Amino acid sequence: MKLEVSKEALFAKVQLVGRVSGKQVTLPVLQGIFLEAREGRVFLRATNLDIGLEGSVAAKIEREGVCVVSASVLSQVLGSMTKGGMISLESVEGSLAVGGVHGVSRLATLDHTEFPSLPQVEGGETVVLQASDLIAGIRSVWFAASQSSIKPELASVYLYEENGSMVCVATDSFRLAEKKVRMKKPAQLLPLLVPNRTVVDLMRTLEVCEGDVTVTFSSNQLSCSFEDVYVTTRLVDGTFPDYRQIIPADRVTTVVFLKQDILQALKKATIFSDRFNQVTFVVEPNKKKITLEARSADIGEMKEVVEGAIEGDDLTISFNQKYVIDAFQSIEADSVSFQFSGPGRPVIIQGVGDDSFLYLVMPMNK
Amino acid sequence: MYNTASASLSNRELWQNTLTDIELNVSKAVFNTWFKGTHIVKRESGIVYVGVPSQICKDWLSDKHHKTILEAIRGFVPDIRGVEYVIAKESRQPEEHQSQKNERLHSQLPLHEHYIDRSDNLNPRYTFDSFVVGSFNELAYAASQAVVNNLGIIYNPLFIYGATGHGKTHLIQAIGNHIKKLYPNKKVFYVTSEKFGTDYVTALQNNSVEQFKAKYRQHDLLIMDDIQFMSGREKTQEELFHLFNSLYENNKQIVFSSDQHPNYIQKLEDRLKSRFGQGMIIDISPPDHESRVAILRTKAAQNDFFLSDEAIEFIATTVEGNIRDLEGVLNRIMCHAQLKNTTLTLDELRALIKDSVKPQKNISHKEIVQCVASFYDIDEASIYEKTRKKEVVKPRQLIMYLMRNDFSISYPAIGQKLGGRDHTTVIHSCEKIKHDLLEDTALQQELYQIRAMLK
Repeated sequence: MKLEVSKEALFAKVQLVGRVSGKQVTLPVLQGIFLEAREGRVFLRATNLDIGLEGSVAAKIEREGVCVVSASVLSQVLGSMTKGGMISLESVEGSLAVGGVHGVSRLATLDHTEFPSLPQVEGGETVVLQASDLIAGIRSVWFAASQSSIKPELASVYLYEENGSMVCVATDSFRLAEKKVRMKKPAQLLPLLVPNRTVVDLMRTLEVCEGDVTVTFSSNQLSCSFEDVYVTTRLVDGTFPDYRQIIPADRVTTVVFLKQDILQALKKATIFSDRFNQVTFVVEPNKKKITLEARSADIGEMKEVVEGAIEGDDLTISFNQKYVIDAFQSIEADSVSFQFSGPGRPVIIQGVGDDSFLYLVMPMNK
Repeated sequence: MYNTASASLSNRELWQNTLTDIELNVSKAVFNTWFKGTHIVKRESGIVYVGVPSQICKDWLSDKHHKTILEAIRGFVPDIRGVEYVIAKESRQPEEHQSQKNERLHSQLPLHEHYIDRSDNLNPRYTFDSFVVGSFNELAYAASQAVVNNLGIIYNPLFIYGATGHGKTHLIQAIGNHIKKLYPNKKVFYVTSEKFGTDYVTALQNNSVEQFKAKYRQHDLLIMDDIQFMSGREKTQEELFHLFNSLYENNKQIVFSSDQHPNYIQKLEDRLKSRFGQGMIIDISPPDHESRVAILRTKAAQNDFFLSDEAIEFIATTVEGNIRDLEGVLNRIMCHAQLKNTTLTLDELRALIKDSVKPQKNISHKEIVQCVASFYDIDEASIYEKTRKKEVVKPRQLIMYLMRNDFSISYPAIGQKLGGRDHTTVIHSCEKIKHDLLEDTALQQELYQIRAMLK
């Protein structure tokens, strides 16, 4: 393989594609980026077997060929070269020579026959979506997915279509996040379960895309392609629980806070929270007062009155403050409502005037 | 389905041996990357189906390692002709050490109850794959397959009946799940007749009968379970009748299940009975011995649990009752084996399942009379009276026949118990019923139903 290519264009693609390589330790070749020069382009490919990425850059090809080099080394080498200009790549006997204006680096290559090809989706359905819709949906919920792999369907982000909206859901069974995104391009979307191990990489990859993305999916595999980028991820073949049944319909107490106020109080509670991250909400409608309490035997305790509009009954209820704080990263409104359905039942957190995001947290027993 | 034909090696043993072999031929990294987490899903007519975790793994194994795998497997089972790769669901991961504090202190969202899809009420667990076919249910299975392949065209409605725990619900839900998989756009709906009834009553109360009608009429496949509970609910039956006609006219498939033949369901409108009969009515009889063995094997394999042939044989012969009982016993055994961390000996098994062996039930003659009288809807007292009304005579004779045949009571004793009749009367009755049974199929059915009720 011998070619000349724009350094910045190549560097950008190496950073995009190389994101997924190197995380897999069992097979050394997966730490690498697969480079292939053909038909006037250089193709870059990386995978950790769960997710695979491919991109390409236009290049002046002198000799076609393939090779695999460590993704992190290539990225560092390109990063330390002077900005702009063209560089040359040439594979010679077990190494890849990267030549710039001021010199040549030789990178050890890995056995390219060991490098897997990226799977294509077999017999799937294809839809066209706006990348920004997909990103908005995933970003609002992915953090709530279960980290444990005992239940693969919960260690996933659940995607489905409903009345022209794309609905993204994730839960670890202690809290649940749901985001509805009105699709600018309505499309039929069968229920999909994207594993949380790949969903962040998928999202970051799509962030590069400014327009439409073509999504193809079967029950096991999903792929997105836009411009010269192809990304494909394994899907979880399973059934997501019908979570809508656990969203309480009745409200006993509703409190509306300024987002800034409650967030500040919660952050303060973090300092004093014990190892269970417990924070207690004491709602007293008669006194028009909401108090947040946190206590730790080693550190001390705090009580903070937070201003808010209360509707409903008295209530004392405890939560893991980490779970509560998590909700705020997906709420854009200035005011948030906490809708309690009584002791021992989950609270609904939503931005005021924004139904598209819903967050559910289970209280703590104590 | 299990397969004993090709070898005595179980799938797990075969794959373990194969992997040990392959491990020697490839590098450790390659082995850990591509072969870890694979298993044999099934063996069928010389083809081994290997379950792999992902598409990428499937592509790689079939591209690069197919020959190695095939050769290794053939080394153990020579008559294997091919290897296919399928993407299997992730197998259950060993329990990780999760943050225990959460488990204890945090109540969880009650998600586990909601795996059943509410839009169609189908439980995804019930599939054809997990359905064990034996001589007792092969007809019902074949009919279900035919229905799946020709939805709404042949066997409409499909009516499956059989005693409880014989797999009716599994089979009819499997039809729904399969259709859902084949045609995601078809509307499938599973409902118990009880739910249908309550829905209807609610609709009446809320003045929303039109919505109710529309809701049920939109489906391409309607599955109604336990139709016998419709008995005596006239308005609901009428609604079902109209629903049936509407679906049938539009060539929509309807599947019913019941614990009795429709003709023997009490207080069921005749027009419904005749409509049930216009498609296909099939019974699932109690599983025979071989099927029970097969079921136990399959269930054990599904749970990755090893049971020796003797143990399976032993359970299949000693445990009375239906498939559900068998499953219960098996669960108990698995739980014990896991606790003790050893395989159980036959003696231990015997001790463990002693409660599940049902004792011979003692039935008094009064219960028989009661049962038969209620079956024919006549007054119990009339059996003992000296009346010779036609509608009483036949049940009375049947009672005598049952007491003699099934419970071996002497002729004079029977006569005495049924209002002081002469033993010759009893002998005559028994002979008459015996003779009638040879020709009268309706009587055979009735006797079958009554015996089922007496059990």
